[in-house]
Amino acid sequence: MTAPTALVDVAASTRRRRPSAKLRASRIAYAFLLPFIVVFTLTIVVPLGYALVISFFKKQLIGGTVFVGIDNYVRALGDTLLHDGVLRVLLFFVVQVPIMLLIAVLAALAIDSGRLAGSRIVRIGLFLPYAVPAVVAALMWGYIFGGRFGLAGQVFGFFGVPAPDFLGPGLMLGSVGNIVTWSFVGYNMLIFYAALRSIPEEVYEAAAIDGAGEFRKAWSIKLPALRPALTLALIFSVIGSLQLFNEPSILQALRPSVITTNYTPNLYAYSLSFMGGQTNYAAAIAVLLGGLTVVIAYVVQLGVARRDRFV
Amino acid sequence: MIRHTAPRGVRRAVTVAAALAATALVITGCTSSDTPSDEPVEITFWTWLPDIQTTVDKFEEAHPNITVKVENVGVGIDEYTKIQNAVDAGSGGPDVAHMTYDAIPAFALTGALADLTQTGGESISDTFLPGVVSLVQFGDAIYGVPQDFGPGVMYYREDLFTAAGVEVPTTWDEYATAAEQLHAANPNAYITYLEPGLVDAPYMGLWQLGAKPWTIENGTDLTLDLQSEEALQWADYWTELNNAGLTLESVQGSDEWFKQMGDGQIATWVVGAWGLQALTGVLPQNEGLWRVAPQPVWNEGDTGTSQWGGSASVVLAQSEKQEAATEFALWVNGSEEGVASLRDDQGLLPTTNAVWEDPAFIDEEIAYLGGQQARQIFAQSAQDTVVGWSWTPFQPYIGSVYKDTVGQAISNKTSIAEGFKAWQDRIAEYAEEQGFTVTIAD
Repeated sequence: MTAPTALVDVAASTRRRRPSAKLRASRIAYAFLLPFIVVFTLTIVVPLGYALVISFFKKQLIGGTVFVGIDNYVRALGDTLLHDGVLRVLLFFVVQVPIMLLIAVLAALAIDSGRLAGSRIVRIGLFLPYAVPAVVAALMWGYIFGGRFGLAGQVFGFFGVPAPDFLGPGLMLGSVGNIVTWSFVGYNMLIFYAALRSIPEEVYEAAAIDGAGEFRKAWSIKLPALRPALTLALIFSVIGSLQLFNEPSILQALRPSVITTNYTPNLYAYSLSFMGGQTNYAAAIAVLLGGLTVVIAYVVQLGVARRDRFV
Repeated sequence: MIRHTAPRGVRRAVTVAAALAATALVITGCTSSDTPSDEPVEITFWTWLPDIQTTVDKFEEAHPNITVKVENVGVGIDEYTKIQNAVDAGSGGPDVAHMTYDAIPAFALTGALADLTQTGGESISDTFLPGVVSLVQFGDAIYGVPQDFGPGVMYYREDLFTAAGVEVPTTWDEYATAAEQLHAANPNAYITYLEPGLVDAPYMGLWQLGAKPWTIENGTDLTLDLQSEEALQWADYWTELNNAGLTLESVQGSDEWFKQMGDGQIATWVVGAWGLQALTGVLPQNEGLWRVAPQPVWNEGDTGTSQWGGSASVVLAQSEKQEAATEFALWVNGSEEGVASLRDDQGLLPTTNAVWEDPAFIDEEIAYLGGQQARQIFAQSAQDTVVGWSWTPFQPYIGSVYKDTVGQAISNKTSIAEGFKAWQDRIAEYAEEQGFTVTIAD
């Protein structure tokens, strides 16, 4: 007699308890998430929303703030100064990013091969520049490249040749690319290296049994395994290139006529906002630039995904 | 006339405060009938002067009821951006702020600054040098207490001129001749440098020529005239020197520039008198090599000079402690003790009439300049400043696109006059965008 009752009781209590346990679990989950949600909302969602809102207004010295709809966006689409900047960072992306990623992949493969003496030191050494703040890096390279008394000038002078003007109009973008490459090779190398470390040992053993050498292994196992990491690194690089700001901003102080106010879109938005008080237009540019970044990142991802299907 | 009330009728220290106030009034020549409240107030002061606390301490010692909180929120445009944000928000700004003269019109004309003639600063126009007062006065209103200024002078390397046997130029024609002679005698030496981003150079040049590159009437009508006879005179003069390879492209204040100055590659520096602080501070090894001369003039017999730099202390309109703020600004910049501290602790060039009439100050021999009585030249320049130069409410923008336009001409050694035209176009476009009715003078 008592047993069924007890069973019913247990069943009833579990039925009761299950949802409440679930609720409690999700409550706990949200409690853990709360700090993130709060910070994310305050530092990402709110500023983004604010930028979007103010991009539909226009503040004038004469006339104050008025709602102008999409005027700022229309203006941006026809703004040749902005176009110059966008084309410049796209060129930067097309040239600098492949070089940087190639170096990073080669470095990751070399370190992962296990045949590199002192690979730990190489790994840390390559990564170290990433720990140097961009501002410091730009200042340092600015000194190295600096015309008459910079390190490059001294080295060239030692050989009796005049140093090329690294910060001149012709080479400036290349010099910026050099600084960015120096800073980010180690970071990307680490992403790739982590991906390589996640390849199971068994795959290599199987390959070894099939008679594959190190190069064959690199080509047929390691490189395909790097594809997701490559996508990730590419997307980071898309963002980094389009948002280029720190390096040109620092070098501007050294070469004001080479790095103009619209050298990169971000620099342009900054000048508009902080020198010209055109915060609304700058916000529209920022929103457009964000949109462009998303589009390019999506195309990159699609491209890589489509290739995946053919494999 | 008491504008602020002392609600709780605190009278304990009133006699002390009154005595102090009387002293302050005598010192500053202040005619304010405001009785400073003895109620403790705290005011916030935004400035980027690194050692200002020394001067503030002296103020607080003399004014026990006023506490000054010093905050450094950035230099120049960084500070102005924060002030503008506070003005837009309606609160959050300082009571007193350090502001360069070129930035004052923007804030004054938009109502962000307090008119000091209404808050105890009626005496400003009597206390300070007229040429400097004109930079803070708009109509009858005065929007700042002058702190320091940069009467234009020419620093030059005496050793270079002597070695080359070249006379120190007094006119711009002589200056161009000296440029050739110096460079011919010493291929490493250039008469001066041109910086593609340094908008202060044309400001100073156009000011001296009496040019009016931008004029605003009725608050909304802007006339641009960067192709005037004066503007072209300046542009063509420097195009010629630049294209002849007689000037060096360099960035003022950069390490490289200081090296060139120290090594004797740059023979002259036409600048505000404050240039001496930079020289003594960064190039102490050059002591005795530099001298100062009046800013060269365009025609023999001319005396007009221009200015470069300088700042005032402004009081924000949103401040609820405008009287205390004004009292502080007046004391720091205008009282005998404040001025002494500005001069000795801050290394600034004070702007009161009193100090420029004081022989002990004017006649002091400056060791760095080989014992020259340099301040006599500063004082003369201060007196001879061409009157009538004005700034626009969007000066930072004008300055920022200089490198995009005129700077290109300087770097590419093309016509600076053409650069002026491009500059004018960018300014016109911007001003129209800002709601001004723009006219280009012909």
